[in-house]
Amino acid sequence: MSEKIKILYLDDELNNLIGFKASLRLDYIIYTAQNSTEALAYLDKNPDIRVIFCDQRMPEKTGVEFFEEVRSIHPHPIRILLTAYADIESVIDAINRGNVFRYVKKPWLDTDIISAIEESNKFYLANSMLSMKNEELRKAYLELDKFAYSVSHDIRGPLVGISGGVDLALQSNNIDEIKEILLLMEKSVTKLDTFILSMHDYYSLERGELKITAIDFNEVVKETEAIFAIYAKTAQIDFKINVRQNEPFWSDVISINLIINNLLTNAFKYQRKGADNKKVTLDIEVFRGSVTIAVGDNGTGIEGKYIDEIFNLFFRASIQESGSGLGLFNVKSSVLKLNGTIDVNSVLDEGTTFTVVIPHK
Amino acid sequence: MKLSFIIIDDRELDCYIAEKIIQKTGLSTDNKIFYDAFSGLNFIKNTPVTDSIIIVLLDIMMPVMNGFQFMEAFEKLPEEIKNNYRIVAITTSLNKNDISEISSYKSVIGVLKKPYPSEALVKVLQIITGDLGQ
Repeated sequence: MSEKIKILYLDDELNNLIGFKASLRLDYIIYTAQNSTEALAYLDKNPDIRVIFCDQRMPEKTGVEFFEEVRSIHPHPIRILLTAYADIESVIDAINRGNVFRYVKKPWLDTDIISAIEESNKFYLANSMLSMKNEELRKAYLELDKFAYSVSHDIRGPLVGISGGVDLALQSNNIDEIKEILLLMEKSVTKLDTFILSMHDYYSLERGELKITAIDFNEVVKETEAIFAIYAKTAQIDFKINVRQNEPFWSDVISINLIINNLLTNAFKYQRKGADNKKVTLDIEVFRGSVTIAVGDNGTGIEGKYIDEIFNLFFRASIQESGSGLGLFNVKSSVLKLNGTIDVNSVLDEGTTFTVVIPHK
Repeated sequence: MKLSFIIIDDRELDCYIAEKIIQKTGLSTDNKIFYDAFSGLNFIKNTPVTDSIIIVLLDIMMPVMNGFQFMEAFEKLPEEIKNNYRIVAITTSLNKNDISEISSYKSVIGVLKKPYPSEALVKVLQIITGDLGQ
């Protein structure tokens, strides 16, 4: 165990507290309290206390009463009752009202206390693991809900449009009109395909393992440049890449590529129509074990009220361009998976810069 | 009788199809297309009131301002403007809640599920053409 377990002991007899602390303080972090107010203050300050020992016979209230109270405010710590008077009534009370995990008789043997702590800790870990898994499940359900909803819009939508287009084209004898319809249908097909590709990214991110290799960013941007150069040329956007890497960097290249590609796609996409000197920049610097990736543009910018929402699943802040609502969500997932951070700085009608910092793996 | 139409849908192909379907009904005098609900709403706000009826084909699911948000804003417009318009909601949604929610707005006279044939549109519009003694 790397970290010491935190334990709280409440007893009105000071000698018991001193003795308890003296024999256990090397192996555990011990908080002692002589009354329940003091004990509750410790719990409020240290939500990571794992085990609470409490004497049954105290002047202001019994141990069972204290546990009953504590249970509702701090449900996570494991409760252990200490008592010299083990009558059956108090045992029943302890279990039913205080929901205690163990019962230790006074005077105690250190080995009893230690084994109670170890057992409590196991129980605590299993429980918190369970609540963590529950939280993950809850999140997964929520995303599944959003997916189910988006299937009808983002997947069925373009399909319905395409089938409508097919109908129209079949009824038309005008070749120019048919070609116009085909052109529009092609756009819908591309949109649908992009959506499915980003769903694939989403899935690989959620379920995939990281593959850590040495990354040469000069190589990474070579591919990127090849992908975006043609686009930059036809859309007349000045595209500048700047890489400074003087040390090796280890990370998952697929995630890094996903981050760079999605941010660049957005930078190219959200340009102001008809603007002069359109610009997109990609700056990568590896320095002291971290990489900073900055993608900037002088495009449309993001409205201030949407900034907090742009990383949400299926959120779209723009009517100008088609988006799946998955791109930035995937970027954020990848960044978090690599223990990194992402910041956005955007001014409406002036441009946006995303800055990602990822530590060395 | 002749009607004019406003199509509000973020998908180019769907607007195109809607326009063709309207043409087929033979009811239309002119159509306006808006790829986002904001511009559609602004147009409605700033157009002088006439005594002809304008049909709005409104897609429900659009980014930034969706059909529901459009309806919230539309219902707050002055009565004399609202009287000029009849809303037909258009959706690909299979969600019953969406459909009943959009139908609950007073100015929505019908809901069509994409894809819809021109006959379905004519049928919805009969409520109006009937109302006006046609």
